[in-house]
Amino acid sequence: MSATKWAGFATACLLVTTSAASSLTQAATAPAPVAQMVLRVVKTPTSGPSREVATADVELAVGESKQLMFAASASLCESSIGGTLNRFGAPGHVWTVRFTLMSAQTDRIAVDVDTERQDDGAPGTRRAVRHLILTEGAPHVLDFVESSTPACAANLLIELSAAMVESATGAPQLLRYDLWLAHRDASGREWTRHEVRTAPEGIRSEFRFEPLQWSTLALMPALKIDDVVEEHVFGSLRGRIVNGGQLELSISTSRRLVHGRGSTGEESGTKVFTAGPGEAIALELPAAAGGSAATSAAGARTLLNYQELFKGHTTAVVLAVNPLQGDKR
Amino acid sequence: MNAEWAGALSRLTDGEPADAELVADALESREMRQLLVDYVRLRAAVRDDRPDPSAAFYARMRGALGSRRPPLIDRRTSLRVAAALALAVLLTGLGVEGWRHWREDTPPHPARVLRFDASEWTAAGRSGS
Repeated sequence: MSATKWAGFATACLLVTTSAASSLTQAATAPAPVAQMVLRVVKTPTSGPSREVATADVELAVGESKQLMFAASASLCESSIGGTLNRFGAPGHVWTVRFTLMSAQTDRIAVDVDTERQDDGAPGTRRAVRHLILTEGAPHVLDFVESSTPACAANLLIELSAAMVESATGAPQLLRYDLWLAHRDASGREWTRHEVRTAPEGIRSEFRFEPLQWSTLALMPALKIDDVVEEHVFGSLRGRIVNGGQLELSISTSRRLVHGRGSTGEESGTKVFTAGPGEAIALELPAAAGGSAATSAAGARTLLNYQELFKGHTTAVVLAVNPLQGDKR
Repeated sequence: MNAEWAGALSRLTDGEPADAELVADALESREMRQLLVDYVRLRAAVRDDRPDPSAAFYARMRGALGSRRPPLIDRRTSLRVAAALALAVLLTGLGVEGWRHWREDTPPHPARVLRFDASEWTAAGRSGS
C-alpha cells in the first residue's frame, strides 16, 4: 500500500470514528422519554362530594414494566396503595395494575395496562388488559366498586393518568405561543383574532379568542332574520423542545356557536405534531354544523342551519411557537 | 419771513397747487429766493435717500453688536417648523405602531395546514334557542 493510500485509509478511519463518537454524544444528550403513571382512588361518600383518598405513581421508560397495587376493605373504610401493600384487617378487594410503556410523546402516551382484581369470596381473579393512548393529565377510569355498607363510602373508583417526566438535566424552557383565529368567508374576506401565551415547556396553557360575531341578516339576507351568531373558539396547548430544537406540540381546540341563549354545544379535537421554532402551522376546523331556532321579523319560526349559514367559510387556528431567549428557569 | 410766500413756495416744490401771484411776489424777495433753493435741495436729498440700510451701515452695526448675525428665519417661522416636525414624528409613530399591531393581528402564512379528521373531532350535546 502506498503512502497516499495509507493516508486515505487513516482519514476514512478518522471520519468513521468521529461520526460514531458524534452519534454517541447525540444519543447521550437525548435521553429516552420517561412517563409517569399515576393511580388515583376517588371515594364517594353517601352524602357529600367525591374526593381523592389515595394515590401512587411509578416512572417508566419505553419498554419498561412496573406495577402498583391497591386494596380496600369491603366497607371501603380501610385501604392501602403502593408497590406493595400494608396489612390491614380483611381486604375485600385487591387490585394489581401492571403498566408497560409502549411509547411516550407529548400528550400521546401509549401504555398497556394489565389489571387483576381479586374480590373476597369471589372465585378466581378477574383480569383485563387495555391498550391505552393517554393525553397527559387526563384520567382514565380503570374500575369501580360499591361499598358493602354506607358507613364510610357509597363507592370508589380507580383511575389512571399519565404525564411525561421532564428531563432532569435542564431547566424547562419558556415558550411563547402566538395564536391567531382566522375566519374566512366564501369571498375570501378574513376576520382575525390574536392571543399570546407564555408557559414553561411541558405545562399546558389555555387560550380563548374574543368571539367573532355574525349577523344572520348579512350571512343570509333571504332569511329576513336579524340575529347574531357568535363563534367562540378556545382550547389549550402544550409544547416541549425535543431533539434538534424541534418543538413537539399538542393543541386541543374547541368551537361553540352561540345564538341567543342556546349553543351548538362544544365541538373539539386534539392534534399532536412537530414544528420548527417560529414555524406557522394552521389547524383548520371542520365546517360548522348544527343549528338553532330563530324568529323572523314577521314572527315565523325557522331553523338556522349553520352548515348553510356558513357555507364556504373556513375557520383555522394558526400557531407559531418560539423559545424565549435567555429565559431558562 | 412772510409766511404766505413761504407756504406758496413750499406747495410749489411739493407739486401742490400754488397761487401764482403769491409765488411771483415771493420771488421778488431775496430771502424767499434763498428759501426756494433750500426747498429744492431738501427735495433732492429726500429723493436720493435709500430705504434700505447700506452695507456700510450693516458693517458698523455688526461691529457695534459683536458677532450677532441677522436671523435667517424669524421666531414665528421657527415655531411653525418645530410644530410641523413634532406632528410628523407623532404621525410617523402612530403609523409604525398601527403597522406593528396590524402585523401582529394578521396571521403569518402557514407553512402547513392540518385538518381534523372526523375521528379527531367530537361534538358534545347540542341545544338551540
